[in-house]
Amino acid sequence: MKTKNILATFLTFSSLSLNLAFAQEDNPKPFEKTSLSGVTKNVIIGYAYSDFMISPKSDVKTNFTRVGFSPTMIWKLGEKLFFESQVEFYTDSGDLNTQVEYAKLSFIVNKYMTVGMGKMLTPFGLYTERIEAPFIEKLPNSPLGFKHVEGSPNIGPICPEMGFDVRGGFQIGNGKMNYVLYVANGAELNEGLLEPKLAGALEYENFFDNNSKKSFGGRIGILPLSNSSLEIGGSWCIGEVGKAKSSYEHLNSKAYSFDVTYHKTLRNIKSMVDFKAQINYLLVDKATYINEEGDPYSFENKSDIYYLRLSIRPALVKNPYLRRTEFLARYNVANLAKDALWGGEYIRLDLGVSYWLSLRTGIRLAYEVGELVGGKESNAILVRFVTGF
Amino acid sequence: MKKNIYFGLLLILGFIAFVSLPSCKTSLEVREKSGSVLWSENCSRCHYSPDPEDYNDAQWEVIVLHMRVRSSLTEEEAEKITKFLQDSN
Repeated sequence: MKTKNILATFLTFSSLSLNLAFAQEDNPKPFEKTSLSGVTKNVIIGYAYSDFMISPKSDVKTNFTRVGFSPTMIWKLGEKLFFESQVEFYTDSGDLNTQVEYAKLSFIVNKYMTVGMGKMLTPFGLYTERIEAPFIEKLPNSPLGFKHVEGSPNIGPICPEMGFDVRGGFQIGNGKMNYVLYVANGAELNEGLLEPKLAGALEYENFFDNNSKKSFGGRIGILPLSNSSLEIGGSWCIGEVGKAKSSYEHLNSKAYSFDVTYHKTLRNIKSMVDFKAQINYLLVDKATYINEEGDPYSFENKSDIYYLRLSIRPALVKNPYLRRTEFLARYNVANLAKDALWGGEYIRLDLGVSYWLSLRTGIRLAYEVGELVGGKESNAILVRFVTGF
Repeated sequence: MKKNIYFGLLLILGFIAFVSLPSCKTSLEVREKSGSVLWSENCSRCHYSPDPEDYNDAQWEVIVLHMRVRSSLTEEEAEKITKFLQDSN
């Protein structure tokens, strides 16, 4: 019933918009001829990177850990139709992994609205959709909990999902606003049958849905200043996460996120300053799970993760080497449901330097020091050589 | 659950109405911004932009469309940025 209501709302919304779009097609804008005109146009962009790690507390203290290559194919199929897809190739622990990171067909309905369907970078918060790509992320690692790691709980939708979205942006006075609404397969609850330690954790890589209920989410972004230097966003995602016909079938999850970006060139300190922060909250209904000893237990399934990142690049100084150097600091916290077998409070500080060989190629170096509160500490030096093309 | 969805939608609509009240029109200052200014202001929020000469006219048209959808640029911004990049390569 709930899913029907959501789908009915979307279908009504979309059909109205499509009618508008076809009405516009009757009076198309005159096509502007260029030397490279043609209806179908495509381009391959992407990125490549290679990682090296020094971890003094590990048995293997130095390691070339990962190399990755991600071609992104973009096709403009007409004035209103557009397809984009990214394939990831990367080695992890020596094994080659390949996956379709996203593949989405979009239709530009009108100047305020684009609809799309496929596998998409989930528009929840800003990090996953806009910052996570290695040539955009200025540190060689991701914020704690904001990148999917096999065998770890996801605190909110941090992975690509299968679904449908409606999005757009428009001017309001001197400011701007953007929006995304989406329907997706949503998260899958780990019942703990195969991995008792992960009982109650969610995973959003639910590419073939485990139930008929879809999740519903979105993000609203506000850029109140006329120079677009500040963006404030709020996101949400709600949906049922249990497997169909299981005792967890009607378990609900609610995820919320708030993000802030501020980017400005400050001439008095001859530098470009960039600040980014995001917090994700996740609440899952309370349920009973079975631990490794076969005993039932339950816990308050509430978690949050957040990060704050500040970077300064003295781009206006005379020294050509300093001009290409960016200094970064990021503070990361993960408060995972404290009574879960995967719970605990983790804190990590990342201090880094990024040297830009060109506007698209950089060498990144970071020192990360982290601890499980009341538990063990870890530290590492990370190096990444990356280019976007 | 249903209540949450409707409450969420109501909040969003209310918020949109609230921020739209002062002015729904694009101010003159914003409308007069050039493609290079919009390119500099918008792209650098997430990443440093490649040189305009790195791609040809057709490629820029596709790349800016990709970014328009990804980062919800307005149509006017995307058109001005595309023109600037095509004129500068």
